[in-house]
Amino acid sequence: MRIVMATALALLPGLAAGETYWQPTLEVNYGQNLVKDYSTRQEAVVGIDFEHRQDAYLLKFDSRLSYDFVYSGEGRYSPADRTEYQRRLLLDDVYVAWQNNDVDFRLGWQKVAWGEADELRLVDVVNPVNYRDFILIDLDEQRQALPMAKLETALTEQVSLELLAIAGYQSNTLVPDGGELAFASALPVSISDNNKLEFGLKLSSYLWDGDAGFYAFSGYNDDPVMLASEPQAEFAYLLHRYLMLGASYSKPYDSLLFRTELARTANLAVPHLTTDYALIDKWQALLGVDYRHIDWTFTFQLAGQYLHNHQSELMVPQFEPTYTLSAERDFLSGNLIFKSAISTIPTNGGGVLSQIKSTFKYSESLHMKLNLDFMSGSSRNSIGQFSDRDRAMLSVVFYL
Amino acid sequence: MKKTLLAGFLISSFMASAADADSVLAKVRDRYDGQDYISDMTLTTKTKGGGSSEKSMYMLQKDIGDEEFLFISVQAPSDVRNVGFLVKVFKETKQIEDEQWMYLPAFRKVRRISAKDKRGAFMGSEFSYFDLDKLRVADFKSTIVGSETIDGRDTWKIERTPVNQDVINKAGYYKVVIYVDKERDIVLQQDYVDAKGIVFKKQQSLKVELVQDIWTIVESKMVNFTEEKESHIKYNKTVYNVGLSDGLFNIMSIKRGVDKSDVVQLTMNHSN
Repeated sequence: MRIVMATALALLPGLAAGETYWQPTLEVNYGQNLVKDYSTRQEAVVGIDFEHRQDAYLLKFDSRLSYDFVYSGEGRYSPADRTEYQRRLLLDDVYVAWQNNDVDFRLGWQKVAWGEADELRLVDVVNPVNYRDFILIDLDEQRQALPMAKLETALTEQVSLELLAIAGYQSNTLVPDGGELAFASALPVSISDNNKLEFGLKLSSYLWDGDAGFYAFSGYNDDPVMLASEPQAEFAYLLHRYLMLGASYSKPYDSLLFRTELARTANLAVPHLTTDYALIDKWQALLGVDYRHIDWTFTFQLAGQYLHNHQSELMVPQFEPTYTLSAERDFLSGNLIFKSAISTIPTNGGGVLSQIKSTFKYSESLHMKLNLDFMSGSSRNSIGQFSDRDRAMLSVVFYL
Repeated sequence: MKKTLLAGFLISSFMASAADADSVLAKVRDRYDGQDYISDMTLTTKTKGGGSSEKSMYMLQKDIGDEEFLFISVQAPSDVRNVGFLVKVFKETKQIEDEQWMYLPAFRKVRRISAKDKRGAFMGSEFSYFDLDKLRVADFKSTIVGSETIDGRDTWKIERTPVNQDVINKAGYYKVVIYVDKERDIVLQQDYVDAKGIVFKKQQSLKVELVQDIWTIVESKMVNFTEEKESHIKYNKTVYNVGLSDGLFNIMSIKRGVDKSDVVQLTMNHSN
C-alpha cells in the first residue's frame, strides 16, 4: 500500500490544478436498549469525504473517526468491548484511481458490492463485515474496506470485466464478550494474514434484455468455526481456501423487477460434532421481486442455503431460508424517507426482525435519522437470540 | 341521409384533426436536438411552507443508432452526490418500454428499475419521471382544439387523452392539454388533468433560447396546485454536438459519475 501513499503524495502538489471536492461531517449517535432501558451508544463521529481529480487520476479519502462515551467510566460493558469500540477509525474508501471511459483501476482500501440482493450476502463475499450492529444497519456500513487492486474494464459495449486482488486475508470482526450484540464467545475478535491473498472476478453483461453477472472468488473463511469436539466448545479461525462461483440476473416485467442469484461455495469449513469441522459444498439461491407503485417501492426476497452431502453430525442446518419484505417511499418532497422491513429466519425455532428506518432532512446541512429495531423468536435462532436487545438509534448528521 | 353525411363529415374532420395533432406532436418529438448534448442542470423545489431545496446535476444525452441514451449524474447536495440514472429510450415505433438503471452510492450497486410506472417524483420534485420522458405520440389520442397565444407565441392547443389504462397507470394523467409553439415545434405549456377532470399540475417553459441554432428550453416550471408546491428546472448551460463517447452511456460510467472536470474536458472545444 506504499504505492497508494506515494501516488497520493505525487498528486498533492497539483491539488490547485485539478478538481477538488471535500465534505466534512459531524455525526452524533444515541442508542437505547428498549427492553432493559439503558444506553447502548453515545457516539460522536467526525468524517471527511475528500476527492481530488486531475486528468484521469482520482484520489479518494472517505473515512470516519468515532468516540463512544457509553464506554466512559465503569459501565456495563467489558474491557474488551471498550478496547474495540471506544475509539474507532473506519475506512470507507482510501484509494487512488486511474479512470477513462473504458477502464477504471483503483488501488487502496475499498469496499466492493456484488450481486442483486438487498442487504443479503450470497455472491457478495469480497469484504468481511463487522458484526457490531449485527444486521441492524445497512450492509455497506457493516462492510470493512480491504486493501486491494481492482480493475474494471469494458470488453465490449455490453460486457465488462472486474478483476480484483486483495492484499491479505481479513476475517469478519466479531463482537467481544459482553458486547451488546455479542453472539459468540470468540477471541480474538478478528484475525488477518497478509500472506493469504484473495482474488475475485466479475463479468457483467446485458443478456436477453436483462442484466447478468458471473462471479468467482477465491478466499478464506471469514467466520470462525466452533470446534464442537473440544471438552468446552471453542471457536477457531480455519483458513481453508474456498472457491465461490456465482451468477446473478435481473429483469423487469411489467411493474415488477425480478432479481435472482445463485452461488456455490466449495470447500467451506463448518462445525462437525466428532471431527471438529468438515469441508462442504454450500449452495445459495435468491429470488427477489421489486414492485414500484408511484412513489412506493415494495421488495420481497427469499434466500436459501443448502448444504450438499449434509450429515447429521454437522452443526448447521442443511436448509436455511431467509425471507425479507420491505416498503419504502419519500415524503415531503424527498425530505422524509421512510422504510419499513421485516426479516425472518424460520430455522432453529424461528426469529423475526422488524425495522423502521426514517431520515428527515431538515436542511441540506442537517439530517436526522431514527431507526427502530425489534427482534423476537427462539434463543437458538440467530435473530431470536437478541430478543432482549430491541433498540432505538437516533442520529443527527451535520454536513459542515 | 343528412345525419349520415353529417356524421361522416364529423368523423373525417375528427380524423383529420387527430392526424394533424399527431403530426404536430411528431414534429416536436423528432425535432433536431443534436447528436448529443451536455447540460448543467439545477432542480429547485419550493414547498407550501416556504421551504426550498436545490439539487444540481449534469445531464448527458446521445443518439446511438436507433436508441437514445440519457445519463443524469447528481452533483449536490452531498447526501445524493453521485446518484446516477441511465435511461435507454427506444424509437416509439418499436413499442418497447424504456430501460432504466439507477446507481445509489450508499449501496455501491447499479439497480435496474422498472419503467412501467413513471408517476413517481423525480428527485423529490413536482416533475415525475413521466414528465421528463421523451414525448410519445401514440400513447395518447390527440386532437387540435384551437390556437392560443402563450407568452406572445402562437401555439396549437392540443388535447390528449390516454389510449388505455396502461398509459394512465404509467403517466398518472387522465388528460393532458399541450400547447405547442407553431414556429419552433417546442412545448410551451402542459396542463395535467386528474380523474375528476381537474387541472392539478401545470408545466410552463419559462425561457427558450437559441443555442447552437437549436431552440432550447432553458427554464421550465411545474406547479402542483393540489400540493401547493412548485419545481423549477434550469438548464444553466447546454452544449450540443460535443462528440460524447458511446462508452459514457453504460453501467460502468454511471458508477463512476460525471463531475465538473469531466464536463470541462468534454466541452473544451465548444462554446455557445
